[in-house]
Amino acid sequence: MAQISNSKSNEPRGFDVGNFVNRFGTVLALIVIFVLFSVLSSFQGGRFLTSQNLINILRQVATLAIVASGLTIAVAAGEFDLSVGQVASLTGILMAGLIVRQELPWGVAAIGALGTGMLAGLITGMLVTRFKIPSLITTLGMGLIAVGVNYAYARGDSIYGRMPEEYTFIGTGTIGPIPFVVIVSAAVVAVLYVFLNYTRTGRYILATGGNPTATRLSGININKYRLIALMISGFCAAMGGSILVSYLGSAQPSGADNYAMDSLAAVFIGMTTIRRGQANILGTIVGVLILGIINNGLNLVGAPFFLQTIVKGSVLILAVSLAVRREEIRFF
Amino acid sequence: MTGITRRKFLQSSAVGAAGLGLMGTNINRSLASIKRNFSHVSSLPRRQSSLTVAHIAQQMSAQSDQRTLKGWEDWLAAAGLSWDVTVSNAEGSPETLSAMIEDAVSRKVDAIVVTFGTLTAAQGALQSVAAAGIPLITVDSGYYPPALCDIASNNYTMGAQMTSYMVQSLLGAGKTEPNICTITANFHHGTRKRGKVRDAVLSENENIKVAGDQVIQYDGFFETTLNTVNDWLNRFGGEIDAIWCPWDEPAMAASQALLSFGKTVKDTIVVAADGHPPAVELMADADYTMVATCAQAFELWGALAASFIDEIVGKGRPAAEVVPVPQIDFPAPFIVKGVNLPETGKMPWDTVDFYTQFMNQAKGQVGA
Repeated sequence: MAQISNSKSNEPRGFDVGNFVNRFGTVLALIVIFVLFSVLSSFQGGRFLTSQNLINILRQVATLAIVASGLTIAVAAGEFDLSVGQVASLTGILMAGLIVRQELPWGVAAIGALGTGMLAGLITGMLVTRFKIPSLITTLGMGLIAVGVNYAYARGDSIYGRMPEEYTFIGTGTIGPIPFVVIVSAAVVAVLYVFLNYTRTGRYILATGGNPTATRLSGININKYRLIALMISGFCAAMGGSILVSYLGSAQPSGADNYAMDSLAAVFIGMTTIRRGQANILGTIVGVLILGIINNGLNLVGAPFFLQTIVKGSVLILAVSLAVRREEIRFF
Repeated sequence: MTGITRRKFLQSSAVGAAGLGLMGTNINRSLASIKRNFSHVSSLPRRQSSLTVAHIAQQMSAQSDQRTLKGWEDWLAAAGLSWDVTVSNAEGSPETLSAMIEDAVSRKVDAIVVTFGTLTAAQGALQSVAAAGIPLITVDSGYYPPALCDIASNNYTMGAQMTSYMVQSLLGAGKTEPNICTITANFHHGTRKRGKVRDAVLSENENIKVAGDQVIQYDGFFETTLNTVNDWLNRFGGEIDAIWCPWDEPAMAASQALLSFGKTVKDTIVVAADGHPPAVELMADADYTMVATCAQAFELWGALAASFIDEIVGKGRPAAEVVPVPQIDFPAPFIVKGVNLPETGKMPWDTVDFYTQFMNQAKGQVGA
C-alpha cells in the first residue's frame, strides 16, 4: 500500500506567492502546456485553439476522466487499484457481447457490466480488508482474473455488431456542440467530487487514506470505507469500459487496458496540486487534461509518435518528483 | 513421435529433384508423380487418430487468430477427429510465446501449431522443438527452421496492391498532389512488411504528401487510431485524401472518425488488408470510406495446418511429400468497394480478385 502523507499544511496564511505556486504549480503547468501548443500550432494553421479541437480533446479524455476519478477514490482511501484497465476491458466486452450476442436490451447489459465492475471491486475489497492482502497485489491479481474472464466469455474475440442508437448516442452523440459523453463524464466527476468532499462517507474515505490509525482510533470502521472506495473504483472502471464501447462502436478484449497506466498517471499528477499529497478529484482532472492535451497537441503539431509517451512519462516524473522533494507525497 | 525436420525435408526434396533430372525422357510420368506427391491429402489409413496438439496463438484477441482457430476447429469437426488440442494465448508477448512452445515440447505433444507468432524472439524454443523432433507448423509467423512450413498470404504483394490501388484511385479522382496519412504497425511481421512496401511505393510517387503517420501497438489500437484520425482531421481541416491502414480494424476506426467528421468516400478513401467480414460488410455502405482490402483466407490456413498434421503425424507420410515449400503463400483476393464485394454469406477470400476479374473479362473477349 502506498503511504501517502500530507506533511505540510496546504492552507496559506494570507496570500503567499510561494505557497500558491506550490499548490497550483501543476495547474500552471497545464496552462503552460496549453499555451505552448497554441503557439506551436499557430505556425501550422492554428488548429489547436479552435472550438472544434478543444471539444475533440474533451471527448478524447472523457472516458479516462471517469476511470481515473474512480481510481482517485481508491487512492484517497490509501489503496491502489491496478485492475481498472482490465476491468474496463472486461466490462466493455460484456456490454457489447450482451447486446450483440445475447441480444439483451442495452439497459440490462449495462446493469450486467456495471455490476461486474462493482463485483470485482467488492471481491478486491474483501480480500484487502478481511485477509490483509495489500491492494497492490490483490488488484494485480484481479486484473489477471478479469483478463481470464474476458477470454472465457468471448474467447478473446473482438465484438462487432449493430448496437442500439440510444446506447451509441452516449459515446458519439452531441447536445448542441457538446459531445454527450463529455456531459456524462462531467456529471460523474461532479458527483464523485461532491461525494468525496461533502458527504460523511467521502470524508471518512479521505480520513482513512490520510491517517488510518488515527481514523480507526476515532471509532471509524476503516475497512468499510476501503471496501466502498474499491467498489467505486471498480464501478467507474466498468462505466468507462461501457462508455468506451459506445464511443468505439465495437469492443476489443484489450481495448481499455492502457487506462490503468494513464489513470494512475493522472491521479499521481493530481496529487501534486489542489490538495497536495492527497488524491483529489480536481487534481486528477488536471492530470487527465494534461495527458489529453499532450496527446492531441503533439498530433496537431506533427511530432513523432514516440514523443507522446516520452513527454507524458517526463511530465509525470517531474510533477511527482517535485512533490516528493517537498515531502508532500511519500510512498512506502 | 515423428522425427521430421526441415533439413530432412529439403534433403528429400533435393533427391526428388535429382531423380526428376535423371528420368529425362519420361517427363510426363515424372510430373504426374510430382503432382501425386505434392497433393497433400491422401487416402492412406490413419496410424494415429487421437493426437495431442499444442495450438499456440500470439494474440488470441486478434480477428486473424480467431479466424484461423475457427478454420482449424471446423476442419477437425468435418474430419470427425477428436484430437486433444490445447489452445494457448501468448497475449502478444514474444517471451510468453517462447515459454509456451517450450512447455509444449516438455509435454511431448505430437505436433505444434504457432499462429501469428514473433518467432524471431523464440530461437531457443525453436531449438528445443528441433531437438525433440516435434513437427511444427506456423501460420503467418514468417518461416523459421525447424518449422515444416509457414502458411500465410504474401505480405509484400498485399502491401504493394493496397498502396498501388490507393495511389491509382487518387490519380483517377484527379488528385495529383494528394495529402495522405498512414497508420503503421510494426509488432507483426506481416503488417511491418506491408508498411515497408507502402513506403517503397510512395517513394516512387513523390507527388503524394504523407502528412501524418502514427505507429500503433496492439493494446488500445482502435481508440488510438480513432483519436489520432480525429486529431489529423482537426489539424488539416479535413484535407486528408487517403488513409493507409495496416489491417482492417484500424481502417474501421479511421472510417468511423471520418464519417463522424462528415467525410464520405467522395472526400477521403481508406485502404487496408485482411478482408474481415465486419469491415467488408461496412464497405457495402455507399458513404463508407474504406474502399479496398486484401481478403486473407485465415480459416483455410487453420484448416490446412490441421490437415498437414493429419497427413504427417496421423497417417505417417513424409513431410516432403505433404509440404511442397517452406512458405505457402495463399492468394489474397483484392476486394474493391462497388466492384467485387462478396455476395451475402460468402467469405471475402472466396471472391474473385479485382484484377483477375479484368483478366477474365479480357479472356472472354478474346475467346480464351
